[in-house]
Amino acid sequence: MENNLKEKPLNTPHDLIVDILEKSYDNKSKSIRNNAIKNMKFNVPQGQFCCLVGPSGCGKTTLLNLLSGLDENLNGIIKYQDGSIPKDWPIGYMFQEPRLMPWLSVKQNVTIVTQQTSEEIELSENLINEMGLSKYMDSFPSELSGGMQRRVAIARAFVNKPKILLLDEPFISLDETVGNLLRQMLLKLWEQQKTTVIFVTHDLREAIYLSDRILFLSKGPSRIIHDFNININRPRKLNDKELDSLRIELISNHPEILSGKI
Amino acid sequence: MSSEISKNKYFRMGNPIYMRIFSFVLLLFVWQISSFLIQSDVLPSPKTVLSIFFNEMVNGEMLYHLGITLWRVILAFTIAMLLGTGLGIAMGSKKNVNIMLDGWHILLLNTPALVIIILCYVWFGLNEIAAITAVALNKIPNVLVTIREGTRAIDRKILQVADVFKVSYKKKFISFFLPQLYPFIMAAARGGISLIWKIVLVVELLGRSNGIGFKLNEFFNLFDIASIFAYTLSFVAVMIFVEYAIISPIERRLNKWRTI
Repeated sequence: MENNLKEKPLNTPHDLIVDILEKSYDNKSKSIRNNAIKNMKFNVPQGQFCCLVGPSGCGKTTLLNLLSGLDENLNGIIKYQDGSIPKDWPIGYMFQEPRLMPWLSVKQNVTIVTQQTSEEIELSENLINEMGLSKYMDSFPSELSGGMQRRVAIARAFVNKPKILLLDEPFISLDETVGNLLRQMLLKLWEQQKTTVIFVTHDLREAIYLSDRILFLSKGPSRIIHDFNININRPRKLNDKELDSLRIELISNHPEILSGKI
Repeated sequence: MSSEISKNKYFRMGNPIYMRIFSFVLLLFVWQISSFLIQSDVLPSPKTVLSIFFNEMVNGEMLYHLGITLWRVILAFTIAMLLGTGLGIAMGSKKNVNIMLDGWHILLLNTPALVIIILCYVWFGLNEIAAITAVALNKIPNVLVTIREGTRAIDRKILQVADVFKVSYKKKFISFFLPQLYPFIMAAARGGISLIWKIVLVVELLGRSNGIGFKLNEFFNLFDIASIFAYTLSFVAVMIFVEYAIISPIERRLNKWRTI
């Protein structure tokens, strides 16, 4: 039952190395320790778009919190090839909810996470324009639709030129049309900045459309059960037969992969 | 037809400005009628009160005492808001601080204002420091309760955004934490200012030789009810000014994003 980790050689300073022996946390209500992650090992080359797919409750958010440094309590290593840790460099994070500050305008919401130099303000404006929100620069989040709020969150995630961008099921509650528009916008910015992306989702179709590579996770305690490269040329078309056949092939080879078994 | 509609709109009950004016005129009218019927010094007519009000204003006597009282209100208010907010944030965010200070807080919250005032005068003497301390101590527990609730209601997810993007600690506090607390700070300030000026009068009555409270006591001894009315009127006017010229505009500005 050994997984097929095909590690690429690492040669750029910001290739990400993840080697978590164990991550557990206290469950206060039941006074037991939950084992969230165990023996999880993978590398992500710089600039790769990597999707993490797994059943719900498999510790995907826990993993993102570890990668971002929000949670520093782990038994293991998360570092770049050059020895620095992700927290030493800018990090972009897009949460499940847009998490905008309701009292700030669209533009302020993007610039607030920067040092507000004139360059950064210009970049903020450019990103908001790229997201098609130039008319809403001074609007408050409450005046925007859910999809538009997420576009602001995308702009914010890119504004500090992150070395790594972490996304936690960001398009989950959107309808398909809006979701697809945002996926295209995300890819456009990613192709411009070539940042490393870790994208968590449980939607296999979304993962195949977006990523260079999919890591499948088991149920908790979570580990990598399958490492799958997607060699379809970009730009990809949403209704491409190739994407669909890849998905069907994957599912028929590993019928239970989405519930965390292989 | 169209003029009839506009006329209706003009006098519509819901029109706030006309309702306010009407309610004010009604009050004056009731006051005038009552004083006319009673015909006693106990309830002077609006006209008597107004003439005293203008006299005292012109000779500077009222402005002097009004200024002193206002100064005490501002000082005590500022101290109470700063300390109450600081303690409220500390107790709302740190469990141990809350356990440590909660008992003291409840003690202070339930000690009658008069007791605090008397003790301050006894311990610190009949001076300005004792007066201001007494007023501030009366208000701090109320501010604290509101701010502590506000701190507990802070959206941690917003603070996480600040953490992920590594904004400085100072900026996280000012731009991510405090704005969430503004409604609570405004509520505490609004409740605070009206309570404080009432307590300031008691403090002045008990141990100061100037200020509105001192004057009210003097008029009480002389049974000069008209002057009591006139001085009360002056301070109410100041407080209405504070409400409409300072607090409301600040609140509107802070709540701009809500009112869409």
